[in-house]
Amino acid sequence: MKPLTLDRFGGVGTPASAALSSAALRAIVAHGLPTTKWEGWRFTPVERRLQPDYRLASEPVSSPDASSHLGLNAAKLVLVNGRLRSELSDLSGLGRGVELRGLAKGLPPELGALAKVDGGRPFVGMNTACFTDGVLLHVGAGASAARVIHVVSLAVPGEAPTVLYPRLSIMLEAGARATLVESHQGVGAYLTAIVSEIELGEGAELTHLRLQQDGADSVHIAHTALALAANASYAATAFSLGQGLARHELHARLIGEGARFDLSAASLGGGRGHYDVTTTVEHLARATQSRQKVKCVLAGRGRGVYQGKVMVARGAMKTDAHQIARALLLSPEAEADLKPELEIFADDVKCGHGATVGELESEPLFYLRSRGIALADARRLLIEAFVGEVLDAVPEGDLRDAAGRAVAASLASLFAEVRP
Amino acid sequence: MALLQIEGLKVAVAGKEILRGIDLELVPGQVHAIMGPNGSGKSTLAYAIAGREGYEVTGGRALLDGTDLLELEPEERARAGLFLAFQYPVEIAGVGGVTFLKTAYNALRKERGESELDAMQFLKLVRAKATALGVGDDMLKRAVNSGFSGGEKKRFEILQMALLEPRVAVLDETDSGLDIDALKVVAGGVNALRSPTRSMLVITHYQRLLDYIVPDVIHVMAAGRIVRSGGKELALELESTGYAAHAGAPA
Repeated sequence: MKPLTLDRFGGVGTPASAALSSAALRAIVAHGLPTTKWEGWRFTPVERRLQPDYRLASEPVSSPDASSHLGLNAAKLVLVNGRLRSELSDLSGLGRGVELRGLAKGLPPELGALAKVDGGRPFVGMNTACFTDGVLLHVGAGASAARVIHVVSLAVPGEAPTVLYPRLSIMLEAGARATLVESHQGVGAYLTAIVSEIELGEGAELTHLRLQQDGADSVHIAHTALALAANASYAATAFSLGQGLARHELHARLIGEGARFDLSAASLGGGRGHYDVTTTVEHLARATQSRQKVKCVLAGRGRGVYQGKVMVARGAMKTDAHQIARALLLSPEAEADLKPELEIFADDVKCGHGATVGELESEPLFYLRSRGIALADARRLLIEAFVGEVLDAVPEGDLRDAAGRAVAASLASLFAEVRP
Repeated sequence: MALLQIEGLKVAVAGKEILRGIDLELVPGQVHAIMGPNGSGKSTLAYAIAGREGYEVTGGRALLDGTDLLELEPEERARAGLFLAFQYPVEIAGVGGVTFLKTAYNALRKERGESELDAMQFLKLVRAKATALGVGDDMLKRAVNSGFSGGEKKRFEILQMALLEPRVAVLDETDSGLDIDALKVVAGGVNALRSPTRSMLVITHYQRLLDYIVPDVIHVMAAGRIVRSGGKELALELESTGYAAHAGAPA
């Protein structure tokens, strides 16, 4: 095994605490980077996509353009190369009981409690040891964020490949509500290793839209750790639309009775795009519910991965868990590896899963063409319908429009690649 | 001149010859019926004319107003004026009815060099045609054929035909899965589209449909050939004698 030092990944930043940092460092040094022999990394050979050397960006050199705002009317926190740019941010109008700020101003005591550093998670370790800034969102009991909160992460090119370590620390107390949009864009060769910790108190509700649109030379590794108290609800829609390698890893613990986890994800791309959605959902209490729907549309040599593990603990009766993954392959070189998994240690549960990989079906295509619709248009209609199921899960209005535009742009470049 | 002219059409499916030389000639305004037992090749004829994948033409021609359909892509055949009403209309999840109809309709307008209709203009047009067939807004809003009953699917087929105004319509077992009330609605829709400039080929296993859509000519198909042709009285004769009397037809 190659020894790993953080020098390759920007060196040590201003970490949370000496203890956390040294634990992270020990774990990384002991285990190195994931290879395809690692459990959970079989389908995602990340090493070959990484640059030989990354640097933490110093002061950002240029300002991002306005397109990164997605046309949303939202409170905004803009991170450029992993650092909060307050002059680009707008934290107004969130209402009482809502605290939204940069992490550099002070770390919450619970930092690192959910996203545990261990040897199997080198990117969590790197973030924990190296992060310099991020976002803290705290919504007090019973409070609601009056506006959508948009966290923008942008990579702007520097002299050397850049590494970004955004960190999100989110806590919604009992009965609190918020809607979070997270978007990632960038230019050039860069690595984003983002860690998000999300804790939802009793009955709290978080709606989360995630748009990943990183460039071709990017590697994007996201680790989201969630803990849900009784009747808390996490509803996420996630779009992986970048052109590089993206891995979106979610670990949810449904700790309280009636907690609910909902994920609708779409991965779209061609070229050498690689899209990995890896989830672990632990049902730890009665009557908890999880729904996962993952769709991949792949052209070129695009590769889609879904690894979804649902675990139902002893005593988590009346658990209702469902996962479905479907991939549409538009070229002979495209590939999908879909692996839903169930581990059940309780009786009286309702669990289901399914996975399909295939090309566009010939019968609907012929039906549409028999009505005078050109082959390319017929394909487009069917592919849009396939992705539409995930778009429909985005809250109606601004958010769905923004996601729709991003998906349409992504599909347009995908169709340009697929000439029937 | 014939609007639809089929000459010596031979078609194989998975290497097996199903149609063994079909000749048909429909002049404008005529409705022809093709009757025959299951497996005689009726649906194969419909799919081959429409250009479905897997239906390999091994001989003959099929001309629509002089254009050989068999050399065209399925969408080009439709734009040349051919319409196939499916025996089993395909459910298309996620594609809304109005979106589908509008895309098809505008593709046709584009072919004719006409400007496309916008959403409002189109909705007005489609609603007028839909009402006559008992197709409500709720059905138009749903995904194409998804969760439709048998009758709803067939009414939706006829609505498409009314909208696209084909020159030649092939109706494949349009009566299958319909109760008598639904059959009357569908047949009424078809009859309303009869015109001196349009021809129709009605494929059916049962004589029942022909009580409502009265054809000018009836052909009997057996084992991939047309074995007999005659006037509408042929249907009644078949009703009493069955198909067994005809050469090559299984008992």
